[in-house]
Amino acid sequence: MTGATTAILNPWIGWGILAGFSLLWVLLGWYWGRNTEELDDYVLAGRRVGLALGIATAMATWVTSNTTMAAPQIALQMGVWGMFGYSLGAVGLLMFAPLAGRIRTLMPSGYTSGDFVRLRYGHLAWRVFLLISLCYSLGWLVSMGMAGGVLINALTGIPYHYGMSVILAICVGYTLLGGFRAVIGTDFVQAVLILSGIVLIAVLAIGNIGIDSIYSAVREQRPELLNALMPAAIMFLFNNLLFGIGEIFHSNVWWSRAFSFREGVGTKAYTLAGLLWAPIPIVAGFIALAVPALDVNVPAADMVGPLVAANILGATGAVLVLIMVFAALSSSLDSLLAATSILIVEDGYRRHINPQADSHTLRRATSYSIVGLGVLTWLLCAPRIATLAELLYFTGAFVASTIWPIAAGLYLRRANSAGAVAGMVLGSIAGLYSYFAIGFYVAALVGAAVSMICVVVSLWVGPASFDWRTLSEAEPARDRAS
Amino acid sequence: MPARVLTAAGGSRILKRIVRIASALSREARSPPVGSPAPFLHVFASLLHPMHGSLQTKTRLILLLTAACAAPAGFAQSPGGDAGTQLQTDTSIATAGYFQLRWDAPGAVRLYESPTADFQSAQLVYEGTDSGHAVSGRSDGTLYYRLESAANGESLGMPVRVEVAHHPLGRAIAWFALGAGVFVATLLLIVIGNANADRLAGPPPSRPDGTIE
Repeated sequence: MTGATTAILNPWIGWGILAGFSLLWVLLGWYWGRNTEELDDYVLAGRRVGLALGIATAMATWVTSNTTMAAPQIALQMGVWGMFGYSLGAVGLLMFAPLAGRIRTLMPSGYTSGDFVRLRYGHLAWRVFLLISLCYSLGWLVSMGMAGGVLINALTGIPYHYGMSVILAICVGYTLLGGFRAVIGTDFVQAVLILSGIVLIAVLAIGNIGIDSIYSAVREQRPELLNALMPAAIMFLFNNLLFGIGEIFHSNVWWSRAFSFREGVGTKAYTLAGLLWAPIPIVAGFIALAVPALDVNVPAADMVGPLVAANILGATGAVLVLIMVFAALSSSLDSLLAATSILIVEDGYRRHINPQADSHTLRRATSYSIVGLGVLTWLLCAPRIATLAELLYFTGAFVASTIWPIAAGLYLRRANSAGAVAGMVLGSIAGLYSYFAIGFYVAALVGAAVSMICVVVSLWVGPASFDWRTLSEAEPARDRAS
Repeated sequence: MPARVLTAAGGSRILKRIVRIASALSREARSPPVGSPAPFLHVFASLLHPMHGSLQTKTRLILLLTAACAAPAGFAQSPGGDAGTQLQTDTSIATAGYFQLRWDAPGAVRLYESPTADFQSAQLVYEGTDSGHAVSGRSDGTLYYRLESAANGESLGMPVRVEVAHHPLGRAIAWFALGAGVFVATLLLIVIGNANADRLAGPPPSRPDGTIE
């Protein structure tokens, strides 16, 4: 059996690739962001993003460390159902498509998902929501920073801390320079790189090993991976689907895009991005099933993707994977940095500390926030306290509990603050309990179910009669809400 | 393991302190007292214990989250191991057919797997200088692992035992049905809500007496 401690690429080749793409991202960030002076330009690209860029940014952002690193891990652990279950993450994008249109209609001047919750449910629900959203954002940022370090280390031998630091520094750098325009523009380039890389790797993998060999080896050595009735995988299926929905429904990453798209673009962009994204985890996960056929040792499940790709394709494959995953991680990190920083500035700084802040002050605060988030993420990534999937799924309990408060809040007048707060708090607690009592593969499911029950019960116990026009009062200059 | 990794990483002293406490709590959580409802609740209870009475609420929250993150990443020695055991597993009961083996041994090693404790029918599953082996896709049963030095064949620590016991299928289907129910309900909410979006966009309907519904 082959070992896997020796990196495929020479570290200097790795440094060269990192340096080349880092320079490219920073230059593009500077170029696209050179004329952004207004706050709306800097944080929402002037609210004029068109369909092509809209599809690319939604798809590229959703292809993250989750897809490129954790999808192979889940395929290795859960088999074919794991692959399929992971691809159901696309349902989140598809279901958010109609919501994006409604958000743009109801809140033409909105900035964040926090704006919606504050205006719709009041301050208590808003603060609970912010806590969940910021915890999730940090978890996502950390999981991607860690993924960058793990991947670069596995492929090039560059120490984890160096790789992780480089990827964080570059993303902070070009997001700072170009704001949301840079994020959207680089996402387009990164989406092309990701799609091309994934397709190429899949074609080469199947050509080099063959489907028959992969199937026979899995059936002999890891039979449960092919079991259509594998219990944990069955439990995982809807958990992952609801986790994906929860991530997208609540996160300001997706709301900020809904606000930034031109009117009429959001629904189409999210629908097409979902359809384009769905096959990616299947392709990425598939290569993990080649482990038995290759007789390669996997020292840790979260390293299986790059290890197998590099093993199958040699140095060329390693270069390809490095470029592709660097693009995937960058496209998500920059989006998250931009979206979380405006959440902190709009919902934290302006609404809690300095309500009179002008556009210039808010823009400067956004820059500080991006840098601060980068530093905090680095500090949390440095210890590498959990594996990627564990860190990722830990947040599932929180985000899934926001599905019903968000969806009901957008469509039902009767949805009310008590139901939203109870749904988010009790859903999170129940989801966390199930995470530890049963497994990561039911945490989001339990969180969503408990939250749904709370919201539905509250519709009958204390229905509200919400005036939707309240939501259009979220312009930066004034706040007449709650 | 979390404490060791974190210390090596050389984070700030405050972070190290938080992590040390959290790791200790997560270790407690992995060995809850008899009758404890669940590991997580035990961690939670630990945080609320008078021992931590001087901690501020925010600090407790940070500890709680850190402990919760650290708990599943930890590696425990197998029930058969002792303090000198170098081969470790992240779980002694694998309910999803996968688990992680890890060791801390200098030089090349050989890892053997056997369905029996006497290793009469053991198979070599890995030889090399890696420090871990991810196992997955295994059917119900008991597996034993033993590590030895590739240089001289000397055993490294005690063997570990892992029991693979998948969740009952009935339970899995019940979870599947629950998930399907939540998903369909959410989908219906959006589809019906979107179909009525125009009607929903206006002000709340008024009663005949002029008050708002």
